[in-house]
Amino acid sequence: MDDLIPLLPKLWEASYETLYIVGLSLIFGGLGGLILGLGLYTTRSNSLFSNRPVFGVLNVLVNVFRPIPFIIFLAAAQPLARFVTGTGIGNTAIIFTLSLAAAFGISRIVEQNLLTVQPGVIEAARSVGASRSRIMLTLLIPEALGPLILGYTFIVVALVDMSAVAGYVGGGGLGTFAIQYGYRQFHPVVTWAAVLVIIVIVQLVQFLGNYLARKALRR
Amino acid sequence: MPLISLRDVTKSYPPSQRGGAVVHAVEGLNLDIEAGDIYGIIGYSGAGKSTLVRLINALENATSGSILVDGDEVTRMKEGELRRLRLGIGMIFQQFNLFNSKTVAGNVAYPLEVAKTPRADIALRVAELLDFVGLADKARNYPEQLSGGQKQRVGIARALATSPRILLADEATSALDPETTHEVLELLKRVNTEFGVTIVVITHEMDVIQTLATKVAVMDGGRIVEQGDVFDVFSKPKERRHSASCRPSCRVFPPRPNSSRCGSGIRGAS
Repeated sequence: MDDLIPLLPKLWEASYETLYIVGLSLIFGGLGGLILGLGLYTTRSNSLFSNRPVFGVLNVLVNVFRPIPFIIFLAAAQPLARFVTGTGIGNTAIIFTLSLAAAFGISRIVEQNLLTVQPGVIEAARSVGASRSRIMLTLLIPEALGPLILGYTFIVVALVDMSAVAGYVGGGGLGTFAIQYGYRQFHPVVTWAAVLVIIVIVQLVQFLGNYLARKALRR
Repeated sequence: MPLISLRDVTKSYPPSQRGGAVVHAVEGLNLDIEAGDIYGIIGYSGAGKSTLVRLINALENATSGSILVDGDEVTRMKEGELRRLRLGIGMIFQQFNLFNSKTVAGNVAYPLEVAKTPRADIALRVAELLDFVGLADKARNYPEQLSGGQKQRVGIARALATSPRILLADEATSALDPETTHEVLELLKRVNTEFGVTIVVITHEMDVIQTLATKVAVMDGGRIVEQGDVFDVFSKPKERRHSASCRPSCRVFPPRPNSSRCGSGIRGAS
């Protein structure tokens, strides 16, 4: 415990950094994933904008990038991060790379959840003369909102997990804190403190997600 | 001039497997539906009824042939024109297909929002329609809180929102019990008599045709094998095959001694 107390300010700072990295990655990656997922859903056969070549390209793109272990992706995409954000290290670089990696993962979750919407509902909207983009924005997303919220909750937890390797490219957060001040300095209590904070964050996120999904699903 | 007129219409689907045969859901079909008719289309499942009805509002595109709705050629319409066409053609479905994310009022309002109706008019129109279908007290409820019959009545209100001239009913009562079926059919009758809406009813149930329709076409294998006034078609069936589908009506039509319709139906099936 004595090891931990002087480090508490650093722990809070690390917690804040984790929330910052995860929050921004959720916004950028979440938006990118939503667009990509809508692309996958709407271009498949018998969908709103059925387009085999486009679907094929998107599908392969997601399949190529999604399974790369994040720590390797982080290293491999560093030149791209540097090109886009101006820096290959630190929190900014990791937010970029994390958003990119998350977008591919989120796209599958979005696609799966949109597929739960009954095709008949889409047909009903077409039958009243709604345009395809109107259907996508005013019907498809609201109809799948409950499962989508749960999907995004799942992703936030995954982002907390992935953000823990930020230290490899000079980023901060709880992962860096736990390794740097706990593991490397033989202070397991410090490591456990970081674990505890992560558990609390994940619990809060999950409770919030469940609550919002319940509201959307009305059950 | 008929309100809906189909000439030599074919709808084919590519084979589902490599080397399979092309499926003709509708083949060389001719059909005229006059304004004010309640036109029943009956047939076995797979006869092409659902495809046929979707050709009228172009949810499916015809492979060949001509489809005139109110004098306009549907098969040549672009996306924007099709959207305008569909505002004038309501549709109801077997599984109701209500929007679960919207309230009853929200469901009925949706077509009006699509039609860019002013907000104040939407509220009035929604109230009027829910009153017509007898669900004024359910406006704020969500679809899952309704019974099947109530859901279909919401479906009808939604389909009528933009005051269409045509209503397409695709097996609208097939998921309902007999009593609820009767209620919905009565409501559809009122839609026809009070608003003068031309209704095209797709069904496999004889009772529906008998209660509701004024004219009927019998479909089999993507073609219309017989059409005319309801009584004529079912009292003197020309083909043995569809006389089998008349069989359930024997419970409804009193059999007459020298009528061949039920006898041949039963023999035909055995």
